[in-house]
Amino acid sequence: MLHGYSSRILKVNLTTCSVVREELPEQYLKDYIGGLGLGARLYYDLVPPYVEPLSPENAVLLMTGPIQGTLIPGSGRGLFISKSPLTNRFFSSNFGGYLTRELKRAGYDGIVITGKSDKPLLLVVDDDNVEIRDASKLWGMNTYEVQNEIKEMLGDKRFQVACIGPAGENLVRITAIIHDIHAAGRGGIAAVLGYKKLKAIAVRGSKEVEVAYPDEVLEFFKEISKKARNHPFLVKYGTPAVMETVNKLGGLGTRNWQTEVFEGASKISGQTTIPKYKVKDLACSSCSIGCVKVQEVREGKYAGIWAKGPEYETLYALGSLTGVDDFPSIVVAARNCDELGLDTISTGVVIAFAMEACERGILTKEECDGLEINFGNGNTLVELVRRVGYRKGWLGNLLAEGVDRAAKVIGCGSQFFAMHFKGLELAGHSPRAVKAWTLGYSVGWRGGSHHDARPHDIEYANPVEVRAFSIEGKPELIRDTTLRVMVEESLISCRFYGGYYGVRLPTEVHSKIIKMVTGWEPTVNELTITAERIRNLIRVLEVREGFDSVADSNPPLRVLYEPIPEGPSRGARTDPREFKLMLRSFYELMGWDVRTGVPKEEKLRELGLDFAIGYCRRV
Amino acid sequence: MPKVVVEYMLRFRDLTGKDKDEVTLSGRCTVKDLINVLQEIYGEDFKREFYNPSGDEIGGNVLVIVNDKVLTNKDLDMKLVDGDVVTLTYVVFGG
Repeated sequence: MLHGYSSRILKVNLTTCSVVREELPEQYLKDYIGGLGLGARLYYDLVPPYVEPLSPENAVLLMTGPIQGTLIPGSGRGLFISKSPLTNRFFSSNFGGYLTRELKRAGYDGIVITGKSDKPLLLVVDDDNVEIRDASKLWGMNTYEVQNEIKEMLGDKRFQVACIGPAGENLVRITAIIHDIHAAGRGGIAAVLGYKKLKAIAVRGSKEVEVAYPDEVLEFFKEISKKARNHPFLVKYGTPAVMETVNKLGGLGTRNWQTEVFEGASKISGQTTIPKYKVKDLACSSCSIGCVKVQEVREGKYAGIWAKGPEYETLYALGSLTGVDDFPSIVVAARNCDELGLDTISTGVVIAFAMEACERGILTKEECDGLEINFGNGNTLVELVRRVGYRKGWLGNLLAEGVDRAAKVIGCGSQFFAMHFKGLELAGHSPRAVKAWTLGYSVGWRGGSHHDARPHDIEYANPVEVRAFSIEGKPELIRDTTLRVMVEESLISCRFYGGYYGVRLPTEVHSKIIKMVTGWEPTVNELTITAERIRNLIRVLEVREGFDSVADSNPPLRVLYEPIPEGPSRGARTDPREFKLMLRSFYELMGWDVRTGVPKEEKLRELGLDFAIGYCRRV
Repeated sequence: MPKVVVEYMLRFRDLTGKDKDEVTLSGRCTVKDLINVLQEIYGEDFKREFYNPSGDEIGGNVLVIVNDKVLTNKDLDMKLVDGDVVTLTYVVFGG
């Protein structure tokens, strides 16, 4: 028997309001680890191809991995998995906090939600007692209100809650699921819950998660925590401190990526704002870094309003990308996103897109519903967030569809500056200044997510040669970091512990973690094969719906054809021919057909994925 | 004698207590010389922060940018000229 796991999942059907507990085969746990890997397999088993994201047949999975609920540093993470209504693809959205620790303590490795209700519902998991309750009076509440209301209603603040806000209820495609003040931000899975009429999930558990070697886990916790407390910036400033350095490198998306140098970067950087606005630090379960900083506006019309972070990604999307350097406006926009249940990255990208479209005269004043829309306008930023969350007005309703769909409706060449990969709005990591990112985003299963591959640490942390602008070695780098991410996302380990566990390929530390927790000790080679298995299974989920090399070959046109106009990365773009070379080389390394990007039969067989070969043959 | 501006970010800012310094270099004027000067001002902690444990290469997480150029170990002997802006920061990207 493997330790660490609960070895069972909850299956909840909202149409019939039924709950089933199902045992997980041990081989599934060894073959797919947990989190992303196990979730992908369960999704594959359950959801056939071409299911509409907003349909009863689509499933939403809340997943844990083996380490949640243990002392392993960085284990305070979880995943929501579904088919995204934004990208129409298999999608996973990672979040922090205490929810998955609680779910493990309640005795489950995951919850699988299918069906659709006619009236709003609340799922309450309290150890073995699982209830589906009416949530009519919770419908319409924002995410912070509803969490408080549920804890009040259940009479115990220890309940951990994940919920959707008005944006999810309104089926906005760029929504986030909110847990505490953390967000499963990307991919719009909250809209799937909104369609299913599931307002929230509340979880409380009382069981200890047993690990195979508790003494070793404790020692490991002490050792890593000591190192983590000495992190050069996350402990003191969190991710907001990143702004200035990224700007200094000339890779900070600014005014919808028209440039990558933001003159207001130091005004909104954590180094400037944390000493002035920070009111508290927060940490997820089993974390001694505590990267979450809560900042509160102290003066002016927004005085008293606080927000989580705003994190680097939010400062990029709602700040430099919209040209807004007024920190209080960014705090308010971020808070509104969290309360409405919107993804701050996608929201910032669609607003920046609208700003550029207005400045270029593509959107008329009538289409802007009377709003003065221009870069740098903090009032417009705050107002547009609200309009997107409620689908208010013609433009609010259009932007709620995401930037890809919005550009297709607006036309007039606006697709050139619709900044997304595979329908997912671009995160704050430059695909022009760091060319490996163009490939990383393109071959990621999600698209514009900065968590599918993680090349940047290595691109700059190389004291021998800085190669961010070249394409040499990039396919190998993206292959390697993708495989590492497969292990991290399946353990569900925080990226900020990557520096201690491994930044390129799966390592002996990952292997040791699995051994200490589960008692099963895969070799690094076995772990790498497992990572390949998971990525290939996800690739099958892509290609069975027609997403092959064609879908991988569409970076934003601005990335391919418009060089960065100024700053340290001036002149950088990703040449389409270079991109093609990187892509083919990546496919070759992965054992995929270099022309179609479809996994080869022998590769699937080698990984024990024989059952999925049929989908690839058809392609 | 070149005068250079040194910008401090993140823990370098904490260590020095400043956003920036203006440093006038005399004699040899390489990046390594600049670090030696800063070490004299700010002590051993500064050196430990900048170099790797063996003390001869840039630390794994440290990022040195001169004007628009990211430096590597072989650039430590690069000559600095009047007006150069040297930024000391870390390899950082948000989550």
